[in-house]
Parts: sequence; structure tokens; C-alpha cells
Amino acid sequence: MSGNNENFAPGLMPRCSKHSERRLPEVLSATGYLKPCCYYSTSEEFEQLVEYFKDRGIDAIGDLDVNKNAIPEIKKSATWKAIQEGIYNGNLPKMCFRKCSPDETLPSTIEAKNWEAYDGKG
Amino acid sequence: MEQYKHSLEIELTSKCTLQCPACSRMTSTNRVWDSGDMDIDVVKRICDETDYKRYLFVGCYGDVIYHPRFVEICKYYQDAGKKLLVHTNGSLKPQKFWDQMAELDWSKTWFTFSIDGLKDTNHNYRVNTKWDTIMRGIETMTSLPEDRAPAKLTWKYLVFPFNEHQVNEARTMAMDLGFTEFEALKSLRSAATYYEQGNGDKFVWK
Repeated sequence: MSGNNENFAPGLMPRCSKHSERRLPEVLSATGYLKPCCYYSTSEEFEQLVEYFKDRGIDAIGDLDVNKNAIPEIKKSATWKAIQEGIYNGNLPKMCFRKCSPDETLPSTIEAKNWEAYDGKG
Repeated sequence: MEQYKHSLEIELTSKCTLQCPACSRMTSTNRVWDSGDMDIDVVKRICDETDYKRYLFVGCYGDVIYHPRFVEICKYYQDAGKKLLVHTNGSLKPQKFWDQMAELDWSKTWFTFSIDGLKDTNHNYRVNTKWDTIMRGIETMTSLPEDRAPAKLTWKYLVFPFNEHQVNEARTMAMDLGFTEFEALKSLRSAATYYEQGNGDKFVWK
């Protein structure tokens, strides 16, 4: 895979990218699936991802299952590659565009994370 | 182009004893959260086969301390030299659990207690918490020998209308207890879903 943060798909500023300064951790759910980020932590959002790739002939359930695959193997799977390529070609579920839009501003919680910042707001 | 080495968040269990009103386990429409505990052999294999910057033992639906073999898992990762981050509400575990926790080496761990208020308010949002059991955990983690104490020990405090007046007191208490950090964050969750009802002591989420 090639690319950098200057040629992400339009409407996308992905925090699962290795080029993101705000990179989010990958997530391993109690259900046993490796997920690209916490926005797919919940079962409902993960189902959207699974259905999206199922429609494109990719078996995300089989690919991302840590009970069947080692994590290094999951990183080589069709699903993981599709996610990584989707950062640049835009072929990703709507959730990705909702949660990682370039228009998104950091929530107030982040600004308030330092006590001094919170204190200053009285 | 710099590449940022990343971390792995592991939801060791989907179990939680709390019923925080805005938690996914309370708001999810299909309410699929009881997927149980992650298999210990899988958790150990992940430790062996990966090299993430840090392993985050936090939860989506669950709180990691409710995994029945949480102490054993932490020890395995610590013995392997892994850096950890633990987030927990800290509630409802027996003294025996904290005694076992006290035996481990937390020097490469960032450990966070999520406590949104003081004794009279924390349970407003963190429904079902028992203050005395949280203090039991805090006393354990703040009493460790310096060479095994957490690299960071944080009190994370979500600010709601019902606990805003206690932020300063909580911060002072955190420092007195031996926390290394106190974080006060305005709750994102309060913005659209939270309103006050009745006499101010009761809060309802919708």
C-alpha cells in the first residue's frame, strides 16, 4: 500500500492511518475480532462493516477472527487490506466518513484534558 | 513521512457491573453485549505474537477488572515487558483481588480510575458503584513500593452538572491520596442527551 496523509480519499481524515498524528489504537473486542478502531467496537457498527465488505465479496468475519488467525495474518487479509486501501480510494463504510471527517473538530473533552485548560474555563 | 507506531486496545471482557446510562450497553438498540470473557490462551498468544507500543486494557462494553483472570493476564504481559494502560471504574472487587494486584509490577503501566464525583455523587452516572470498594482499590494502587508503582496513576473525572461543584475537592483528594494525575473532562455525553429533573438530585438520560 502506498500513500500519505495528503492523498486520503475526499471527505476522510482517517485516524487508523499510520500517518495520522492522532492515530487511534486498533481494537480487539471480547467477541474475538480485530477492528481498525474503537468506532467499530460496538456490535451494531461492526455489523455495518461486515455487511459492507460482504456486499463486495470479502469475508470480514472470517478474516478478522483472532481465534482462527494470528494478528500478523489478519493484517495480510483481504479485509484489512481493503480497509487500508479504502483510506485512499474511499471504498469504506459510511461510519468511517462520519467519524473521521476532515471537518471534525476536536471535542471539548480533549481541550479540557489538561487541568489548566479546564481551570481556565472556570 | 513519519509513521506512528500504534497501540492495541483489548476488551478483555464484555462484563460490567455498572449501568452507566449513556454506555453502549445501555443505549444499544440490539443490546448485544454479553459476549463473555476473552479466552486466556488467545490473550496470551496476542502478547507473544505482537509488538504494539502499548496494550490498552479498557472496555467497550465491559470493564477489564471483571475478567476472572485479569491479574494473571496483567502478570503475563508485565513479565513479557509490555507497556500497559488500564482503565477501570474500580468498583466491587474484593480485598483479595487487590491483594493480588499489589503483588504485580505496574512500573510500565498507566493506571486510571474513572470516578465521576465523590462519595455522594459518583453513583449518579456510574450507577451501581460502591464507593468503599473503589477506595479499597485506590489504597492498594497508591501504596505500592516506588519501584512497582504505576508509571502514571490517574483519577479521570467526567464533569456533569451534578458533580461540577466537586471538581476542586476531588482534585485535592486525588493529590492527597497519591494519584500522579487528575483529569477533569466535560462529558461529551451530556451535551445532547442529558437533562436535569426534579430537585436536582435525580438525573435522567434520554
